[in-house]
Amino acid sequence: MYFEELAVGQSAETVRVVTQADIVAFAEVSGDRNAVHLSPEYASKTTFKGVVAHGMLSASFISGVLGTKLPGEGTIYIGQSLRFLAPVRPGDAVVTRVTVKEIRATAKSRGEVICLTTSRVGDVIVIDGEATVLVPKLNREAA
Amino acid sequence: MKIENLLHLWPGKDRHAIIENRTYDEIVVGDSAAIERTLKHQDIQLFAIASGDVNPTHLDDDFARDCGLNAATGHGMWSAALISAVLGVKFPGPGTVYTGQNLRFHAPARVGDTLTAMITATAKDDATKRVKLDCVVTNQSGALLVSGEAEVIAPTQKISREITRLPDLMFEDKAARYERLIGISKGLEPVPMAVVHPCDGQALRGALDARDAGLIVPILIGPEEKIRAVAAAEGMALDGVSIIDVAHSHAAAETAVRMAHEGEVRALMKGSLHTDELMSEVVKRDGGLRTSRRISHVFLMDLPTYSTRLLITDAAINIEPTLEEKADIVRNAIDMAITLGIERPKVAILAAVETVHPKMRSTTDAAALCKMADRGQIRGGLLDGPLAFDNAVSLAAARTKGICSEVAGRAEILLVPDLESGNMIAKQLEYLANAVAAGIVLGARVPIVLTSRADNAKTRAASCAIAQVLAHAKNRHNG
Repeated sequence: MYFEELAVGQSAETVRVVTQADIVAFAEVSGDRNAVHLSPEYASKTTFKGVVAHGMLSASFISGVLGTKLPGEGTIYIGQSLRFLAPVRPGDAVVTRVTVKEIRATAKSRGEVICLTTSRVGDVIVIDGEATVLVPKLNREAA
Repeated sequence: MKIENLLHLWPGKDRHAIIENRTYDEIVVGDSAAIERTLKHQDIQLFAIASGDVNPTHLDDDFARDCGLNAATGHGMWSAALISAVLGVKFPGPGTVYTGQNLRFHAPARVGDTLTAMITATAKDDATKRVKLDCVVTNQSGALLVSGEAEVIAPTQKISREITRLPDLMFEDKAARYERLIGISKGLEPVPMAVVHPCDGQALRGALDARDAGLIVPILIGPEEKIRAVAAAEGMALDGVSIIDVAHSHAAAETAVRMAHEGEVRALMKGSLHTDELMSEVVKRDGGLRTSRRISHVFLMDLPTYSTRLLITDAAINIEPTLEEKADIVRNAIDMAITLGIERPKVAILAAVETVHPKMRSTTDAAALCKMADRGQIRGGLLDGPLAFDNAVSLAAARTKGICSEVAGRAEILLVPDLESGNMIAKQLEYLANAVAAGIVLGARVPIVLTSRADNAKTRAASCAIAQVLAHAKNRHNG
């Protein structure tokens, strides 16, 4: 969507079931090979009592919503705050919701938009936060 | 594409590296730790898969340029994930609970950039064991890409353990492999192809798809009324397509073969008639499409696990070929491989063993074929056999057996002992090894696309692309 098409309150979400394969892929791509994400034997002895997904894996789903749904293609991600509130385990369905909170008009070819981001597994909020993005304007010349 | 070596992913590059955490008590404000990672194209793809963020800014160079970027860039969250990696495996390391993170994305990482994620402890809270850390990700020129602050609950117990081994990951893009296979005829004019009796939806669609892809100019031969009824039922338009109306499938085969004989079409495609019905016309002594060569079939397969394409022959026409017939089957395949740009194709003649065994005809035939090649009776290729399948496709297996050969381990053509073994190899590769496949009949005056009902649209298109390349080559040859 273009900047002009956005309105406060608009929202979009994705649902992703986190698999052990996703966790392995994330361990590979991030380099975070902490055994709490990869070894059931080790993880069972930690405070988590079992394997948990990387917090940043669930957080990256936010990037997925922003980049593909709301605002979508062309979005430039400039900031994100995250509070990791509860663990996500393999098999959990993470619902990642992005809601437009504030629209800041700027004089440039892109406008700044603040979005609330909420990640849930069932009724439990696992991550909450706020994203800041730049969204291309429909009419760049006029801007 | 296989990630050659996972060890590159982690600094230290030691599979058995030990990771040790820093407990809350050991952490001193001002302490810092860092990791370094170079962004590869595969990282962007893998992150796109893991995150679901397929925003073309990251994946499509052209789109990225339209957005004012020089080329596709890494995801901001990937750069940020390096912070999580430092926290998870280095500082504080295992036992850390990640509770919060603020991020500011200043600039994107580009493929080839080496990023350093550095975190520094800035505050400790003894009551909750929480630690605040300043996070900075920079590139090789020192430019700031990401900044932020992390908050963790630091571990209280010392943990020291071997870094977790990861499985090898494979990048698999079957659609792209099909596109590459179909791309072998890029730049060539479409060839006129007789489509014999296309009286079901699949056969008709195969011909029209190949036309739409610019591979062929189809000439449909069969009962016109029936063909039009199929097109109408399937919602396909036949505008501008020539149809030659004949009464039944046998007449369609006859007409198609005559047209090929007279040079009106330069390739044939089987529609919804039985293979034998078409092939008996093709091999007819009088007015058929015979050449001095035996007719044979080749599967061309592109595999995610093998570095070159494989030609497998004959898995579809010759049931139990004699030595003489095998010689022709090999000659046909060598000619095809050369036409497809393989200069001196390496032919592995398959058997169950790599030694000559008088009771196994496949091994004695293989030895004889090699000698025929030595004496110039089979030209253009490099033959070796007998070779067991593993020796043919795996250098390691060939080395273990002590086989010294230019063919072993890097075969480009597999000559199989008989139709059954060949058919099983081809189908196993297709169904269990994710091969993309195309098939073609050789040794007739024109290439023939024999599709089976189980073939998908892409296989049909790829087969047409090969027919197109072969038909053009034949044309150049003849004049």
